[in-house]
Amino acid sequence: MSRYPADFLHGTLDTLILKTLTGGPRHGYAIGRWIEEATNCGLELEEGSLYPALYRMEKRGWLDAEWGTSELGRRAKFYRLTRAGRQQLASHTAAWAAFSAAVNRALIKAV
Amino acid sequence: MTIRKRLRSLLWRVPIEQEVHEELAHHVELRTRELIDRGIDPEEARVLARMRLENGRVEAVLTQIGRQRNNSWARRDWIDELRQDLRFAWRQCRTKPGFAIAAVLTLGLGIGATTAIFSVVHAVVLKPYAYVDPDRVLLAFSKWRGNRGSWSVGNFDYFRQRVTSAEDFAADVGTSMNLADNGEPERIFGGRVTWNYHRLFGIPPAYGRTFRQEEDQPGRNKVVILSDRLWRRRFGADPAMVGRSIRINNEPHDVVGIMPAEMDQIGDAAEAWVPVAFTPEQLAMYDEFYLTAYVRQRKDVTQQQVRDEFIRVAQNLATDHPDLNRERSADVELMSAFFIGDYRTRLLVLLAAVGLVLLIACGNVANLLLARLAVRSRELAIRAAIGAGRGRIVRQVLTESLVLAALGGIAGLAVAWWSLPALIRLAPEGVPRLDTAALNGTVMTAALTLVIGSALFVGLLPAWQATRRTTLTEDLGDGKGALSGSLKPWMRQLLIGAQAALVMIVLAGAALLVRSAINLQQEPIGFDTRGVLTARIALPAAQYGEPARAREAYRQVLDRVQASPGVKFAALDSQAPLVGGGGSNGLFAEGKPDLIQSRSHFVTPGYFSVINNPLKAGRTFVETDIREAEFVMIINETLGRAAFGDENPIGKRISCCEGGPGKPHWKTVVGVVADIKTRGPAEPAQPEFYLPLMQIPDVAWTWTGRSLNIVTRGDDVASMTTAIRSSVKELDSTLPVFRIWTMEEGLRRIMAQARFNTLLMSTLGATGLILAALGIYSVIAWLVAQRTREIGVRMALGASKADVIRMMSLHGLQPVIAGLAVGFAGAIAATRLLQNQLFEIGPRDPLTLVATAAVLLIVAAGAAAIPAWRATTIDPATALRD
Repeated sequence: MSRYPADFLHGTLDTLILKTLTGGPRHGYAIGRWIEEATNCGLELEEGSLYPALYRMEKRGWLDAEWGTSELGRRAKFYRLTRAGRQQLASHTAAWAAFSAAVNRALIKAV
Repeated sequence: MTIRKRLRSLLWRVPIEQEVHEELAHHVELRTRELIDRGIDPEEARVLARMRLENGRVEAVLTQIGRQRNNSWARRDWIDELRQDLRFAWRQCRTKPGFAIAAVLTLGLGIGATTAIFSVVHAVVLKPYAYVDPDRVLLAFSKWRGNRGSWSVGNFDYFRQRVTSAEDFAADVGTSMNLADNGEPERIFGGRVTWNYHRLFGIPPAYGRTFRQEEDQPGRNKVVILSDRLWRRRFGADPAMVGRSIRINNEPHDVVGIMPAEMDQIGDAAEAWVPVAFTPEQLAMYDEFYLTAYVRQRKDVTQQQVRDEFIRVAQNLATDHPDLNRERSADVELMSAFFIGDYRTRLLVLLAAVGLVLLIACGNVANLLLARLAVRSRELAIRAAIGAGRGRIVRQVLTESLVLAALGGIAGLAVAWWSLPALIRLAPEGVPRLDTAALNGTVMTAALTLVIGSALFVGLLPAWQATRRTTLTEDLGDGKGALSGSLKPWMRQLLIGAQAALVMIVLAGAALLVRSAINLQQEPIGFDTRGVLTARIALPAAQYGEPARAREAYRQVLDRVQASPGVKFAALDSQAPLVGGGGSNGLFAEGKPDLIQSRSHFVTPGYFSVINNPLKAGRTFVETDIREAEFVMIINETLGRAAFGDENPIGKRISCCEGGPGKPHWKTVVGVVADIKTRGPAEPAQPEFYLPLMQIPDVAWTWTGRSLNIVTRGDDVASMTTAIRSSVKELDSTLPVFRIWTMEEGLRRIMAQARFNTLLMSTLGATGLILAALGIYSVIAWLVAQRTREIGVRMALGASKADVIRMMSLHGLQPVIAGLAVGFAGAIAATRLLQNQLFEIGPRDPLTLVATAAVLLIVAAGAAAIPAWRATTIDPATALRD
């Protein structure tokens, strides 16, 4: 299990969550699982990071939540992207691409 | 989007704890399953999944964030709803512009008038004075037999040396000064002050400095401080005036300082100050009382301590100088309270009256809103049926009244902005600080408060009415019935009842003032004011200090005036009636113990025929009444009664004006004249005496400041004015002529205060009456509309027109009569505040109160009868068919 500095994780985690939801509404557990699988590098999400991020983004209006029925047949909270969330995802993704390209250039040059 | 949010806020009503708990439980369940799938023992899997929630920390964090989220949603929803309500209210105004305009104008007039009056009250009464720590600045009075009065120099100096509770103890004497520099000579009002006078108020000079102690002594006092007003008016606001020399009373004075505008609001508004510089002789004078004294009390003492010390020092003074001070004491009062004085009550009464009219206006708008709500009862029922809570509906109705009140507030500011200058222009002279009234921050805050207050007053009843439980069937069941439906008329009747009560109070006050003004108008003044002109001149001490020269100068002026065309009679008087000036002296009648304070007139022989003051007994003055002849005096009837009771005063002797204690200077009473109202009709006749001008002691020329009124009678004011001006100019071209007034003008000035209050109160009363009549009219009209069918039935069954009119009018008149009863009691309680403004009429004058109620009742009956009569024109057949 790898740990990232909190603030770095923050922005990245938010973006990953938003990305997850482009495929449609999901509940918290599914979001976590998707991120773990998609990153595919043992990035294990703690509930203590995932859920606060979801609540914060809902408060900011990037996500909307409503009760639905899960695969267990039980009431579950499903999150979906809002328009603001989509815009946020787009700008974050662009920023991230620029950032990682810069880091890559630096790292590769140094090698 | 908005609807989605709205639904969310309506349906997403799970408590946050439950939401978090349920979500996490679901998560743990899925995680446990996953672990079991990976082959972990179910028990252990559950424990592991739970462990990841960190002993409830995650749940706590989520609950906290969730709570914040809910709060921000609530805020956003609230703003959304407000926006929605505002839009709705605005749409209502647009679709019913007549209603909106009526409501906005009514509120605008009410708010505007109240704001304007408030700004005057604020400027005159409420605003703290500009000087430093106004709470420590007191006026000191010398008391004689319990009456407050001025100070003699000797007494002032005695106190100055002994009083310890004052940081500063200063004095001034208001005086007229002849100002001459390069421009036209001019008469200004100035103050001769002790050197620490300006320091006492703590206002630093705008330019230059205040007086130095060494300048406050004879011979070194040729310095002057200019007021801001004089500096701007006369010297073009030139800061370089400091250091220049100007001529005051024909002597050069160096300008050492210029005070800022704040100083103009203090005391009696002197335009310039010179040091009073008491001479050693003055300092030894204990018996001439003309100084005003000011105290700045020390920080560590109370006003009562200052008063106690003044009384103590006065007792010592009485021991040290018993001749004149045996019956003297001293007193202090907060200066601001003293100057505001009577205006506090007068203006607060006015503010209360205008506030009542605003309430009446609010009543009308509330009435309109109630009527409109009746039309909307169907819509309200639907809103309630689809889940709008009471709070929500109340907010919506209140928002609407707030929009109306806000628009009314804007209209009101326009009204205030327009009416305030008119108010200041119309107001009588001498209201302290009135010219500083403006629509400043405090007044704006008050206006905003009025807007919010009006919105609540206007909206509260309708809002409450709107939340009354209405059943959907009742309101939707019958398309027609819904229009009147569940709304009962008693609220609107309550409103017109309350309006009647308020109008009764305002109208009763106005009626009392009007009757009092009529009484004043009819009060005989005692002499013939027609064709009489007065003008005042004052001879400066520099050339005319010698009494003989002053006498000669006045003789020349009078001769010239008398010889001028257009002047029939001319005379001089130190204190002409209705225009002011002059002073008073204590008199002793021979053989009587009491001192009688009496107004002095120093006049030339022709005086009584100029103003047509009837002689009741004896003779008038003649040219031979000079100092070398017998000393004579003419008294008025009041003085005759006060001095001699029923005895004939002719030939009796009175001592005054010269001599001294134990050394009477007898003057023989040779004539008695009828009482005249020297200070206007409101004042009861006072003891007054007349001395021949050519017989007065030399010191009397100093008392008057060598200042006299020229009084002429003729047919044409313009030619008399020219006669006086040119006669004075021929004598001395540097002498200003001032206060050139006809007696009518003098009378008008004296009555200005009463007229102003009467005018304002009558305007307010009339406005209130019209508003209330409109309110009554609209309620009856609405009732008639509502009961058209019932009236139709009654008429079909044989009710006469008179029956219908009576029935419908009573709906309006019953609450009005109840309101009148309440208002009658209120008026009896409230008109007491007018006591000081009334002349020869009691504040509870029964005739006035009953007449007011009767007028109100008649107007109310008229307002109710018009729509009631219209009800009789209903055609039964049509009414029943509809």
